[in-house]
Amino acid sequence: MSASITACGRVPSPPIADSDPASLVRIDLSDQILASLELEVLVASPEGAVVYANPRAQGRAGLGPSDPPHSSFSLYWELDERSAAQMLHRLAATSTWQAISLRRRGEGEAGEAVAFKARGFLADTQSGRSLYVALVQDVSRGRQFEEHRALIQKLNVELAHRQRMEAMLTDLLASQKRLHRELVHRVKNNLMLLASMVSIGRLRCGLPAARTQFETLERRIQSVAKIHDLLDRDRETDHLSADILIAEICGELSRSLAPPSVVISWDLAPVRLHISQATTLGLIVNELVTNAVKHAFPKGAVGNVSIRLTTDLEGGVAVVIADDGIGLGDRAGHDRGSGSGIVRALVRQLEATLTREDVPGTSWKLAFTPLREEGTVVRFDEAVLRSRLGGITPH
Amino acid sequence: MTVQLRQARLDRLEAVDLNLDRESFVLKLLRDLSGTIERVVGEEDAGGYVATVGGMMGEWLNAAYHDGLGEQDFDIETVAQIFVDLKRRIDGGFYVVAIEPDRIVLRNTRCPFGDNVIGRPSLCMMTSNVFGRIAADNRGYARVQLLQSIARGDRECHVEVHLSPRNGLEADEREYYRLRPSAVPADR
Repeated sequence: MSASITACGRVPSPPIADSDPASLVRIDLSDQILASLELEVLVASPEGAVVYANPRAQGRAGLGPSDPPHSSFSLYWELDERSAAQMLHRLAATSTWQAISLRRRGEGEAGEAVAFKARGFLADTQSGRSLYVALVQDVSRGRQFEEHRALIQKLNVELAHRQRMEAMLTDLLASQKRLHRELVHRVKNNLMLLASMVSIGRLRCGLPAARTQFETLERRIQSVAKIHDLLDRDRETDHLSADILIAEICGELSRSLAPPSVVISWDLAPVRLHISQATTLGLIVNELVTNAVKHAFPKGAVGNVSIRLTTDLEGGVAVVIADDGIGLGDRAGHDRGSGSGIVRALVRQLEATLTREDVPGTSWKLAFTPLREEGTVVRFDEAVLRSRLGGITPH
Repeated sequence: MTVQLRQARLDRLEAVDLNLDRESFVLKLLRDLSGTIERVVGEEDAGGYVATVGGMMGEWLNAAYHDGLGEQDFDIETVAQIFVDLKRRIDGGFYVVAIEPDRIVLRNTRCPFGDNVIGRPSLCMMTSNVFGRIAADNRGYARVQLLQSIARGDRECHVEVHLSPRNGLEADEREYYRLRPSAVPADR
């Protein structure tokens, strides 16, 4: 720094005498420190005269280290003299460091924006104490912005990559769902075809016992086909509404199996089940309702078969199939027919409990815990459950 | 949405209690803006930005008081009373604790920014710069020290304005130098 100016700092700065060896050492050290800085440092008067520029600032302005600095601040930066004086005047007003940005004048790097911090300070000069502005290049500000810019650029690349991945996965998922629906549709068609073939076999069969077996088989196939029909209609692949399934099975049995003297009715809470549980449940309901219609009302007796589907606060599901017929009587505990065997196997598969109550008529209660959509045991939210219970549709 | 529901909402619109008026809107804007700047560039640099604006406000207020009271430099007593008066006009609660030959001591019970100042210490640079600018332009030099501030969680602000330079600055001090051409100083 020029020997004619010393900053008013914490260390007392007495007027400098060239004959004072300590002062000479201090000046030499200050100059060396300022020269070694990889920052541009300028000192200017509030009126715009540059009184000091360190070698880096000199070099960036196209001057040699030993050249005298440009006389005017506006020769370093793209500012007219009036604007430069206004800015420096403002910066000189306080010791608070303030951020400014200047555009470089000159040839090679003309127009380059450079960030500075600047503040006013009082300096002792040969003519007394004067006000100056110190400007120090603020590389951290530029670097901070550069780091932010680089980070944003990196995040944008990452975002674009993830968006492409998401689009690809969405396409794959849509494709998989489409294929699954196609499969559901084909299985449904195949089951209907199989049921038709069994129906043709029944019609061509002359033996009454065999025709009964054909009928039973046909209804079982239709129960399974009904599930795929529902999936196909609702464009679902994994889950379906068990209440709608049971209603359709009961409606079919009412139309095709029950005599006019037997009324089948149902009261079903809305319950969504995974296809594996829905298939098993549909077959069990089909077997128990068929048994009730065929055996509880002999000789054209009048009667009712009711099916009730409920959920409880613990998340359990229960189906009660009750008739007001003659009851099992002596047949209780001795029925070893194929229907009973299938029901027992299906109950085990569903990990359910099946209990019977004999008075009046016969009442079967099937209870089980449904799986969550991802395959775990579901627990109902009470509010959801109440809203579901509010949706029961008595038939 | 049904037409009836929309109309019912529109009927209630003007009565909704938002605690919103021009002042609360501007104060909220200032709080969010200063908070954003403090987070992006740090509290110290944010104080630098507020200082730039505070310096301009100080120049403006100093010129306004001179327009009303005359061009002659204000003495220390008048400078102290101007601090109290200008803060009172913007709903601040400053009062003078002491006036000494080279020092004015003030305290403040209510910030003009209200509760919006809490946690926004960069806004204290407004007070420092306005006081510093007025004091420096009338007494030649000022060093404003913010010893306590509501913004930092203190119950009151404690501000000291020193009028004589000394070597070195404390962390809570800022210096201000005369910009206004010196008029004939008033007697103390």
